[in-house]
Amino acid sequence: MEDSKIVEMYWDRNEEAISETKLKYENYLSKIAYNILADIEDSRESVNDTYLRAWYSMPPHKPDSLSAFLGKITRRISIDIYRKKNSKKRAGSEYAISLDELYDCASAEGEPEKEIDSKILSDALNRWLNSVSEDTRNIFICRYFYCDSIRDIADYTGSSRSKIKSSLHRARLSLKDYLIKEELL
Amino acid sequence: MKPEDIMNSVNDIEDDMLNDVQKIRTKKKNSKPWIKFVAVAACLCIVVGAVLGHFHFNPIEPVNPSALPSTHLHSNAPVMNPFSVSNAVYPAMLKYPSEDAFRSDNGEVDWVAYTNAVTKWHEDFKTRNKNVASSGDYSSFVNSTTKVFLSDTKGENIVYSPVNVYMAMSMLAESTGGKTRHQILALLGADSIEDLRVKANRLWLSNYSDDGVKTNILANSVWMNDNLSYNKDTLDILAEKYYASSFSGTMGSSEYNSALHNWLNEQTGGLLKKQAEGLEFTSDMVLSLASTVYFKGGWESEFPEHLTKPDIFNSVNGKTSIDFMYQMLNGTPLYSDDDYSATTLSFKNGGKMWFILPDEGTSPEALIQSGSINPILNGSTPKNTHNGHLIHFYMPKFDIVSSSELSDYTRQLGVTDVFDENKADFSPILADNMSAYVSSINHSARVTVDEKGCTAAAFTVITAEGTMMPDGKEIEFRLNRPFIFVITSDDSTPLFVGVVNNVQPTS
Repeated sequence: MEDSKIVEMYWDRNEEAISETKLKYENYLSKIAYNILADIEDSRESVNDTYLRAWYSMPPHKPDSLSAFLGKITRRISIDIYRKKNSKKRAGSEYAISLDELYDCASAEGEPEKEIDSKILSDALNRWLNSVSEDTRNIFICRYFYCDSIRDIADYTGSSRSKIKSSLHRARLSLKDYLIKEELL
Repeated sequence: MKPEDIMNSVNDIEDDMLNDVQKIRTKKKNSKPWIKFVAVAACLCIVVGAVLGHFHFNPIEPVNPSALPSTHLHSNAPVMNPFSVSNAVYPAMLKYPSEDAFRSDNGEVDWVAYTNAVTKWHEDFKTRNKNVASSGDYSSFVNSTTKVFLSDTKGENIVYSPVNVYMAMSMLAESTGGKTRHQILALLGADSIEDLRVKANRLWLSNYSDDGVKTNILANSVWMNDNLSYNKDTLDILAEKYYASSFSGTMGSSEYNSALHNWLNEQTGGLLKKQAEGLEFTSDMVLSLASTVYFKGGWESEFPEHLTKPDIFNSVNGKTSIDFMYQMLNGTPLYSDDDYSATTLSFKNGGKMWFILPDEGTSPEALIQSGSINPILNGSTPKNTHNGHLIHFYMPKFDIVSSSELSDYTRQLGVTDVFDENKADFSPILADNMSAYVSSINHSARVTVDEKGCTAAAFTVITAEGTMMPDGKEIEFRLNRPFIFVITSDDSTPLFVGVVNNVQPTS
């Protein structure tokens, strides 16, 4: 079913909107949740919460891109769960690993931290992403939005894992430079 | 800054980029860049002035406006000034709850309480949506007036708000009687004044929103001369059915004029300041009816500013270099008829804007006259719908404003008596057998479009896995010559119709 039809069903308060959403997006959302949580049960909870949140947020929202809209909800809920129930099993989750990688472009330990408005940071990040090459952008988003593993990214892009790793490394340094230039770091 | 901060900001990555990546992740390779969209703010107002026909006012009047009970005085009244007699009471509407209101000190949201609040809002929303106007109520008025009001643009830009003129004319119908009223009812497509009340009220309610998500109010007001007397029953109906506020003051005084200007500016977000200032009461005015519409919508996804580039717009007066915004539309149908093609952009929280590009050799005016865009005006879609195309959408940034005197056009549409000193019947509203006639109908409107939307989270137009992929056919939709636009509300009511004949570079 087309996204616009599904969104319309939400607006009509037709509960079948949720089953249509499940049918189309369950796999996609589960993967995002699992990449972050590394736990089937928790992922299920996160995805179910996503449906609930979607039900309550449409209306008023009328997303043109249902997949991005839902993906963002799942990612946020999953990160919330991750922070709340940070258990040992998560140490190996792709989110945990990718979070660790981001120390490359965060303030170094011991340095005084700047208080940054999240909106300003988001805008800067979007500008930076718009300024880098398409390949860099895609790999960065796979890794830090979808929390995909290096192996998955290598599969998606048809590159070697070592190439992905070094691209990501360069991307983080470039982001750091950008944030410094924008006086955010 | 902590890694977590960056992870949080990653959630705000533009949807188009996410969708690009999602295509790779599902191995449906597509190298087309996906783009964000625009914001639109539009607005407008109308004033109907009635001038005394035979000036014979009686200084001892049965009902003085200032002596009217202030039963309509209400705390949510938007504008109060020394001339207020009664202020419109708008229906109560639950505010959409904000997550932040349910966030505790540790930053966590109390989801149970929040979802309860949202559930309540949804129940309210559901009740509200029963007030949807049926397009049949209003389509004959839209079709006939659009044809006439936009018939002669003289190469200028023009904006017309059918819903706005409909509201003002409805109030005029309430204020008049006999054949005068009959002619107005015929134009409005109503069988009787009772029928009009039902339809106008439905239209008003279906366009009313004040829930914190979207603010949209069709504000109406009645401006009276404090030397004269008026019939309370009619004023009550205007307040109840049309949510009209009423004012009384000395016609021609600068204070009363500025009260009108302030009211208009407040209702239209200051967008029509210049036009409002051009409106002045004269001392022989007995009554003025004012209606406004204000609409502001952010594009469902914004145009990325860095893709805005100057290009040539071929106006009727020659070529103009102007900034064009660009975005690619996937999943949005392209529509066509014999003499035009059209597509749409959606607004966040409902409503959309149609862009209608006449075929080369056809002018927007001729297209409007032919009636082939009527399906769009009546909440339907054009003859042919083409799905599955990838549309490269180019639109000039524009800010157009127009001010028209509608009296002559209204006469053409069969409403004549109300302008005739000897025939106009204002008995329902004017006491003491006073007579009056309409001296002017001024309609001003402005629409501005740019890439800046609401700053809230932007959701984008993109296909995801499973949705129909473009069939490979790419179409360029470039609004680089005179075109028509129509802004419709959530229930497809046309709020604004305009013709863009030329564009001015904006700084």
